[in-house]
Amino acid sequence: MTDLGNIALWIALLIGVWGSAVAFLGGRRGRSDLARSAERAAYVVWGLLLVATAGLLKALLTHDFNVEYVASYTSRNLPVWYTWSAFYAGQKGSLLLWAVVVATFGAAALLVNRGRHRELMPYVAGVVLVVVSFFVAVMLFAANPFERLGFTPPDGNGLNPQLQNPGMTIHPPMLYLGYTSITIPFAFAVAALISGRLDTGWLHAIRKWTLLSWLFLSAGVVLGMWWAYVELGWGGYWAWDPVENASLLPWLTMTAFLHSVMIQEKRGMLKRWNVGLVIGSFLLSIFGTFITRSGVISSVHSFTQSRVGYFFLIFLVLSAAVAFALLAYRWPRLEAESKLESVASREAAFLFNNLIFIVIAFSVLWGTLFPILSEWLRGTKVTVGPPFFNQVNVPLGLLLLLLTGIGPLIAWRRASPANLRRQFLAPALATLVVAAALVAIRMSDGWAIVAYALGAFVTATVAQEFVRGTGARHRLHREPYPLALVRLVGRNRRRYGGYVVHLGMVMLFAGFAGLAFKSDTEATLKPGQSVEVRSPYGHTYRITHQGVSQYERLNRFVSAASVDVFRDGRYLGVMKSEKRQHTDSFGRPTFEPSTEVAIRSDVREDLYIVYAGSVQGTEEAVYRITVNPLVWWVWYGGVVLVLGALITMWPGGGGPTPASLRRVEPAGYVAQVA
Amino acid sequence: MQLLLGLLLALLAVAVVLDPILRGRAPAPGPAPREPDEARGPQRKELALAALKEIEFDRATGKLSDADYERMRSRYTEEALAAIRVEDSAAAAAAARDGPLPGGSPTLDPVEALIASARTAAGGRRFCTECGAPLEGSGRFCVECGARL
Amino acid sequence: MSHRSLSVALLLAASGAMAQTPGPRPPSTDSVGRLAAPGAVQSRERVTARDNDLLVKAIEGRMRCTCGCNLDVFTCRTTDFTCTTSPAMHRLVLARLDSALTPDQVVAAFEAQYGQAVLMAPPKRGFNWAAYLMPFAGLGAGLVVLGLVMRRWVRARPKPSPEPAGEAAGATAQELERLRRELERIES
Repeated sequence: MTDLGNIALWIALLIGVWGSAVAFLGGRRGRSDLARSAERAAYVVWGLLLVATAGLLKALLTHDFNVEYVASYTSRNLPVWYTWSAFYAGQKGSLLLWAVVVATFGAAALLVNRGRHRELMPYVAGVVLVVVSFFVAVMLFAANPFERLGFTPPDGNGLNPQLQNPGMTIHPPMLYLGYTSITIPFAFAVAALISGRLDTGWLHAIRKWTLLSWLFLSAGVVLGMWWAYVELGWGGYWAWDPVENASLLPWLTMTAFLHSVMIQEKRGMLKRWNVGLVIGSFLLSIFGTFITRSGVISSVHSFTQSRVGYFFLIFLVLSAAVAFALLAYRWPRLEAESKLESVASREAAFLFNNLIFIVIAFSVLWGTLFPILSEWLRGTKVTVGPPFFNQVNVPLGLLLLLLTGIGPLIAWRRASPANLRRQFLAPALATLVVAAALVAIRMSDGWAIVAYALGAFVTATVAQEFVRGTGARHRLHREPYPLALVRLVGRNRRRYGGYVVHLGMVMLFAGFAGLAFKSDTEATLKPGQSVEVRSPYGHTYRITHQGVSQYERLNRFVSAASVDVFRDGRYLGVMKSEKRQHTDSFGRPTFEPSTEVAIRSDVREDLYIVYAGSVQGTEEAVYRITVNPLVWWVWYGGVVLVLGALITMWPGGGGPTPASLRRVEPAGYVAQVA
Repeated sequence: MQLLLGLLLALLAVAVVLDPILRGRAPAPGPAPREPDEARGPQRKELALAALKEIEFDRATGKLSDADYERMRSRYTEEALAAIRVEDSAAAAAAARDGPLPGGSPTLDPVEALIASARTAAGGRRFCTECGAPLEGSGRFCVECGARL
Repeated sequence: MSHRSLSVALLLAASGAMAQTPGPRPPSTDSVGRLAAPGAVQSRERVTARDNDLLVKAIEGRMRCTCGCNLDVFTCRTTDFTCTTSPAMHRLVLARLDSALTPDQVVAAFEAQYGQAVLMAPPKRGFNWAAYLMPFAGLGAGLVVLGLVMRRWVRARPKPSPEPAGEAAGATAQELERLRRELERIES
C-alpha cells in the first residue's frame, strides 16, 4: 500500500497541475469542456489523496518500520487509537492530512455548488487544485511520508508522550479543518475577482463555509488550550507561543469578516474590505503553517527545521501577490453601493469592531515577528513573551469586549440620542453595579474589575436584545411570548446565534480574567505530611501526601503520587498525579519521563497538582500545587461559542430568504445547468 | 502488484479527467454571460424590502426614533417601488417578446403576469415558440429545435 | 509506616480507608521508603520557603530560561523537570538577592550576562518602544482613517428629504398593494 500511496501522490500532482491549468483556461475562454475536466480533476485528486491516506494509515497500523515516518513516530506497543495521532505527529504526515482535507473541502464545495455559480466554479476548482498541488509537491519534493529506510528497524521510536492524550486526537485535526476550510472562501473570492462576478453571489456561496471554518478554528483553538492545560503541566492554557498566535490570527480576521460581511449584505458597502479580509485570512493560515514548519521563529510546537518552510514562504508571497493584484485590478468595480447614514449606527460600530480585530491581529503578528525584525535591523536578539502580549492585548481585548456590548444596542443605519439612552440604560446600570460590587469586595486587579464589569455589560445587552425582540414580535405579530422567542431566534438565526456567541466570549473573558488570581505553591511532602494552600475565595485547601506507587501499563511505566484533598477541613477526595516513563516493545525507555497532572475542577476554581519528582528516589515527593480560578469558564465558554455558531449555521431560517437567493441566481439559470 | 494497481489508478484518473474534453463541448452550451447590472435590480429590491422589515423591527425594539423611522420608511419605500417598476417594465418587455403565456390571460396586470411567469418558470409547463415542443425546466434554448427563447 | 512503602496494591486499597481517618499523621523523618524504580521519576531537591517567595517568583517570571524551552524561569523549573538550566538560574537569582541586589538590579545583572533575549519581554527603551507603541499607533492611525472615511461617507450620502413625504409620492394604489404583498412574502 505504501508504494501505491506514493504513486497516488505522483498522479495527484500531475492531475492537479493539469486541472489547475485547464480550470483557468476553461474559465477564461468560456470552454465548458475544460471547466468540467478541471472539476473532474478536483474529484480525482481527492480520491487519489484518499488512497495515499489509506496507504499511510495501513503502514502505521501494520508497523511497517521500513517506512521512515512509521519508524519515527510509532512503536509496536503504541495503542491503536494513538496511531491516528501519529498520522499528523510529524511534518510529513501532517502535510498529507492538510492536503487531503483541502481536497475534501474542495470536492464538497464543487458538489454542493454543482449547477450553481457557473462562472465562478471553474476558478474555484482551479484555486483549490493549485493549493492541493502545492501541498502534494512539497510532500513529493521535500517531505515524502512514504520515504523508505535502507533497513528495517525492529521497533520504532514511539510517539511523543505529550501527544498521547485524548485531546491530541481531536485538537490538531480541528485546527487543520479550520485552517484548510478557509481555502474555500478564498477560492470563491479569487473566482469572483477573476470572473468579475462581484455581486453578492459569491458571498452567499461562502456564507456557510466561513461560519464552518470559524467554528473549526474556534473549536481547534479552545481544544488546543485544553490540551495545553491538561497535558503540558504548567498550569496555564495560553502562552502566546508563535504557533498559538498563528492559530489566533486567522480566527481574528475571520471573526472580523463575519461581522463586516453583514454590512455588505445589507448595504452593499465594504466590498473591497471583505475581499481583503478573506484573502488575508487565507494568507494568515498559510503563514501559520510556515511558522510551524520553518524554524524561523523558535517555538515549543516547531517541527524540526527543514526547507519545507521555504516552500511555504514562496507560496505565501506568490499567493499574496496574485490575490492582491487581482483585488487591485477589480478595485473600481468594488465601489460601495450606498453610504453611511450616520456615525451613530450599527454600521459604524461594526467598522470600529473590525478596526479593533485588525489591530489585535496586527499586534499579535507584530509581537510574533518583532524578534526577527530586531535581530535583522539591529542584530539584537529579544524575546517577546506573555508579558508583552498581555500588556498590549489586554486593553485592546477589553475595548473589543466593550464594542461587543455596544454594537447590538445601536440600530442599523441611524440611531437618535433618545433611543441610545433608552438602549444603554439597563446595561450601563448592570456594569456600574458589578464594578461597584467588585471594588467593594476589594478585588485586587484593576483589569479584572474592568473585564467583569464589561462582561456584565455585554450579558445585559444580550439579555435585553432577547427580551425586547421577543416583546416586539409579541406586539407586531400577536404571538404568545414563548412562540415569539422561538420564532425570534429561528427566523433570524444569524443575529441571535451571534448573541449566543457573544455570551460564550463573555465566559471566555471571565475565565481569562481569573488568571490574575492564579497562585502556585511548591511543597516537599513525606507520606502523611500536609501542606495548606489558600484560594482567592478565602478557602484553605489541605493536601496530604499518601505515597507513591509504581506499576506498568500498556506502553509505559507509571509512578503515581496520591494526595488526600480537604477544603476547609471537609474531605474532597484523592487526587493522583503521575510520572510516565514510556517504553518501546522491548521495554527500552523512549522519552524522558513525562508528567500527568491531577486536576479537580469546579465552577469557581481548579486545583491543579503536579508531581514534580522525588527526593533522592524515595517516596518523599515534590509537588507543585496551583489554584486556578474560573478555568471552568474557559472550557464551557468554548462550548457556548460552538453552540452559538451552530445556531447561526443551522440550515434554513436565518440569512437571505429562499426568495432572495432565487433572485440573485435567476431560476432559469439554475435549471439550465442542472 | 502495487505498481500494476498504480498504473491502473493512473489510467483511470486520466480517463476520468480527459473524458469531458474528448466528448467535446457540444452538449452543454456555456451559459451566456449576464450583464453585471442585470442582477442589481432584484438585489436592490430585496435590499430595500429587507431594510423596510428591519426598520419596523428596530422601531418596535426601541432602537429607532419615530422621526428616523418615518424618514427611512419613505425612502426605502421609494427605492423598493422604483426597483419594482424597473422589474415590471422588464417583465412586460419579456412578456411581449414571449407572446401570450399558456394558462395566463392577456388581460392580467403586469404584476400578475410576473407572478404567473415566475410560477411557470418554477413548476408549470411552457412550450417552444418556434416548434411548439414542450419545454423542460426554464432554459434559454429549446431542446428540440435549439431556438433561443 | 514501612508496610506502605512499596506495595502498590496496598496503597491503592488504603487510600479509600484513609478517607475515613483524615487526622494528621506524625511526620516520619527517617522511615521514608525508597521507590522500586527510582529512575522512572525525576530526582528533585527539597523545596525551601524561598522557592515559594512571591518576589523570587516575580523576578523569575520576567526572565526566560536559556535552555531553549521558551518558558520563563519559574514556569520552566516548575514544569519541565528535565531542565537543569532553570534550577541553576533560580539558584543564581537567590544568590543575587542575597548579595543585596534589588529585584530590578537582579534582572539587570541577568541581562548583562545573557543579553536582552533573557527578558520575557523587550525592555522598554530605544528601538524596543516600537514593539509596544506600534499596535497603539496602528489603532490611532486606523481611528483617523476610519474617522475620515466615515465623514466622507456621511457627507456623500443623499440628503434626506427635508420633510418626510408621507407615503411615497406618485405611487399608485396598485403599486403600494404590490409592495405590501412583497413585504409579506419576506419572512420575519
